[in-house]
Amino acid sequence: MKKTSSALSIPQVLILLAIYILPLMFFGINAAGSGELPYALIYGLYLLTLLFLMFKTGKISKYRRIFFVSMALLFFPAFIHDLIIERGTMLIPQSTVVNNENPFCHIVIPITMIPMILKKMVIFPGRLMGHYTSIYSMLVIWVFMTISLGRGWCSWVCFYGGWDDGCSRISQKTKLHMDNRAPWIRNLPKAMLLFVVLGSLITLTSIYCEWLCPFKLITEFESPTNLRNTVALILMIVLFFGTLIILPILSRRRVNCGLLCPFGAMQGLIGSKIAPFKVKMDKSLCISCGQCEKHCPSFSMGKNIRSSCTLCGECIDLCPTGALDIHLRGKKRIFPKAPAFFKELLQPRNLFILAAFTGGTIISYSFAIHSLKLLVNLF
Amino acid sequence: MLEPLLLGLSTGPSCMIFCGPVALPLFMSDMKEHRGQGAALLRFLTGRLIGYILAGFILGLTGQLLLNYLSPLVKDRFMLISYMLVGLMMLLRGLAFLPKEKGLCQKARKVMPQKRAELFLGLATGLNLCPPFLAMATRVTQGPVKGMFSFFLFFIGTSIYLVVLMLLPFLKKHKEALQGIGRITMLMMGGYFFFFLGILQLGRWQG
Repeated sequence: MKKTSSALSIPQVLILLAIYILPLMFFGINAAGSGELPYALIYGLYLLTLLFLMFKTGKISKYRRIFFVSMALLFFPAFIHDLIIERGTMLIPQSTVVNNENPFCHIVIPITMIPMILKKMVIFPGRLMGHYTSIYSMLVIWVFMTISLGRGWCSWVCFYGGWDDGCSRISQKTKLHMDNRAPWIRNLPKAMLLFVVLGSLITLTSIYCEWLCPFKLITEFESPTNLRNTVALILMIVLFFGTLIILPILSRRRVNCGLLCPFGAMQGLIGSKIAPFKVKMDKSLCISCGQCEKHCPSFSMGKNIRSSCTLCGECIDLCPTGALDIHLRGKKRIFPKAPAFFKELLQPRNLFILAAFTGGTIISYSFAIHSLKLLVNLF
Repeated sequence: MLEPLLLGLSTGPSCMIFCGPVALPLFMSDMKEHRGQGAALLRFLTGRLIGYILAGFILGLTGQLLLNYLSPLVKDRFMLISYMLVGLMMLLRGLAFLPKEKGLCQKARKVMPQKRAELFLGLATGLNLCPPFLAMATRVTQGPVKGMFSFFLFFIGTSIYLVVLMLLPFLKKHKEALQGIGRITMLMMGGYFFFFLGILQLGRWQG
């Protein structure tokens, strides 16, 4: 059976874009106040174009990846610039740790939860509130995004994920075969989560940040003035190039996000259970061609679709029969008796794309336009 | 007389912060039925009890003399060695689960079978100078017998929280996955204890 097209007509696309434009306008007004309106318009136009193409062609993964990679690439210039303005260096000074002024990031959320419950303490030296990278602001964003997108966060909202997502599609051929069904691949993400949670309990510090975070190379890190910090720096460089660039290129998989990120593992455990959207397979349409399993970047396709699915859309685009699609908790279509125009428009996949793209926009807008301004000024 | 018991009960959750990261991967990596799990926990607790009784005896014998001698630096060194030993045992146990027939994995299976690991890791957690242990240690001053008895009561108080591990067999539906996760975690924790909390901190020997 041949796949039916998921592409929308121009009026349908325009209706969805009109909904999306509301948060864009909010950010545009904010940007106008800070003198960054031209950059806000450029970024807004860029996002609108990507979303238009996504709806018009019915191809999710390709345009999502362009958005996701640009988000990752635009994150670090603004972040590093802000750090240098604030403390004059990318290195973490002792005073920042003592005064609890380190920027909080979502990857640490699963690590901080148990000590918060057991010891009533936050084991991360970050600001509690009053800053855009404060602990409370990240927790609020995480709760809302998790309720609405689940593990979709990892392919649409996370400002780090674009690194290995982009690299996983550089090579056309798989040079390093990583079997989705191998038990160690299935268990590694949860083991990693358990390890960093338990390990952090012993020292009451986030051992992921201390030793295992590859993103410190493009954000902030400790000065290698002693053996401990030197080893941490070496590990960070190895993990950055190894798990975010080399292994994804060779294996065509998102090695860091799919196997090593504790936040991703937690989203798989919690987010996928509570979020309304999930990828579902219509087994009557499946011809067992294996395309989905072969190309799934997040190791989520085996006999069944695992909870680690990031709703990236790769399998949906590749499936030759349309057996895979985004569903709304068991319903393939909502309002089944509505006219065809609205029935198509309100497909769960379109609603998810709209929600997830808006989520990514909310997260990325501020640093993206800031980075654009910096880059324009640089050249 | 009840003070050690109450101290154990009140500091038990903190105790779990130090014992849990060792005990959880250990029991997850080899999940058993209720009876087997009970026996495994008993072995772990026996090891822990031996550690506590030993500590009670020594502290009771030397009184505050030893505690005074235990400068932060000495405590630090003791912890370092203890972390390295725990790490080594966990690494060996983790390696023993790897499917390789020969080499290091086979040797690890011989040196560190599961029952031995449960006993020895229990002993290691019993001798861990964690804050609840040190809080208890400051209260032992009246001879070796009373020292041992106090530590026995403290053991009872803290061990109640480890009974949570008896719930693991209820998750037998996920046995295969949990065992797999436990085995990988065991290797990772072993490496973390041995290398990051042990070897890398050796620079501190200089004082």
